[in-house]
Amino acid sequence: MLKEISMTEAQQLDRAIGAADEIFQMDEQTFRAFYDATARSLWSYIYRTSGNATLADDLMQESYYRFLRVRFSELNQEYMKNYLFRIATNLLRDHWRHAKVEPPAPVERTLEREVARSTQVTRLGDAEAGLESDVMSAMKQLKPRERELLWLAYVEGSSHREIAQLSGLREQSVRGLLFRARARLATLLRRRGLAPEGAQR
Amino acid sequence: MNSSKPFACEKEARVIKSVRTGFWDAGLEQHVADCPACSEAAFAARLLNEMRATDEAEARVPDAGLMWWKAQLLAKREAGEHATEPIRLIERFAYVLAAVCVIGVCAWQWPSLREWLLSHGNSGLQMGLSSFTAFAGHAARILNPAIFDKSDFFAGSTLLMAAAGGLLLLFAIFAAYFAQSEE
Repeated sequence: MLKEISMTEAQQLDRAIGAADEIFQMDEQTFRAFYDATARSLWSYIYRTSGNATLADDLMQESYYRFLRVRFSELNQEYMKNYLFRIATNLLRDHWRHAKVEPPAPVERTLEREVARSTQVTRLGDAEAGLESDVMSAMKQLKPRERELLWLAYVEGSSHREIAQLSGLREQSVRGLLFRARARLATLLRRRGLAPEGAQR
Repeated sequence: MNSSKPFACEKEARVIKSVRTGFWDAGLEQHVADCPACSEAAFAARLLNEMRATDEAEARVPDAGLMWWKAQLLAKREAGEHATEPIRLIERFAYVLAAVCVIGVCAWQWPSLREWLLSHGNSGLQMGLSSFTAFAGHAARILNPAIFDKSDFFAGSTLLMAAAGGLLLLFAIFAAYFAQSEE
């Protein structure tokens, strides 16, 4: 939605409506600091759970826009970050819900991106790029919710309680789903010849 | 359950945190080597965090200032749309009311209108001009109180009243809207 605004239209709107200072609770400086601290991790979360870079761009912008419209009782960084991820998770769910009736999201772009990445031998070694490609492929075979849970728990370091609040699940359910998601990922990776030493015993 | 299957371990959270931060407690690394669940958790966490590190380095996210500016504009546009919603509603209502009034007047004056339509030629510009002139004369006759036929008026008074009421209502809505927007 944000991408649809052209420069001319934006300038016209700005002139027509005038400067409205109290649109958002957060001031620009606070937002900039918060955005710089969270944007990349949010983009990464959406990209790795959706497998679509374009979608990640769109949903990230939409998430921040919705986030800015929320009136928080206190500007607690951790709480706000969780709230932001909650918005993104809901947007992802909406996307998947609509994707059931619409044509599936293009995965070609993602694959192209992965191929492009794996050829970046100057930044990543061949083996490393191949490993990432394998992990991404394995991730794609998981359910969207499993990818969400794994990312939140293992990358964002969210507790089961935080994940439960964020995803709308019960804490006990999160524990079980997370265990199964990790087991599935390990199985998929094992099929690609990637597995931890301990788990193979 | 298979005994070789990794079960959830109480140290998993610490293991994941250690993978994320890179700081390992004494004995935790040994525990990971011995515990299938923690080993699997550490492995998954390491792979996922490597992906995250790649994204951190490569993701091209928009500048915070640009995001702020766009969000503000979008909010203003939405506010503008919200503010003009009553005007659009009234406009639609006015169109409907105008159409109803035209239909009502036509129905009310249908005998005269029909007579006037039938009394003129079949086609062409001449017909159009003469029709217009005749219609203007007919309208002037209706509107002139000196030659106005009261029976015609009372025959169609219900429709006329309805049309007038509609117009009054429209003006009242406009007046209320502008009074509110002034406030």
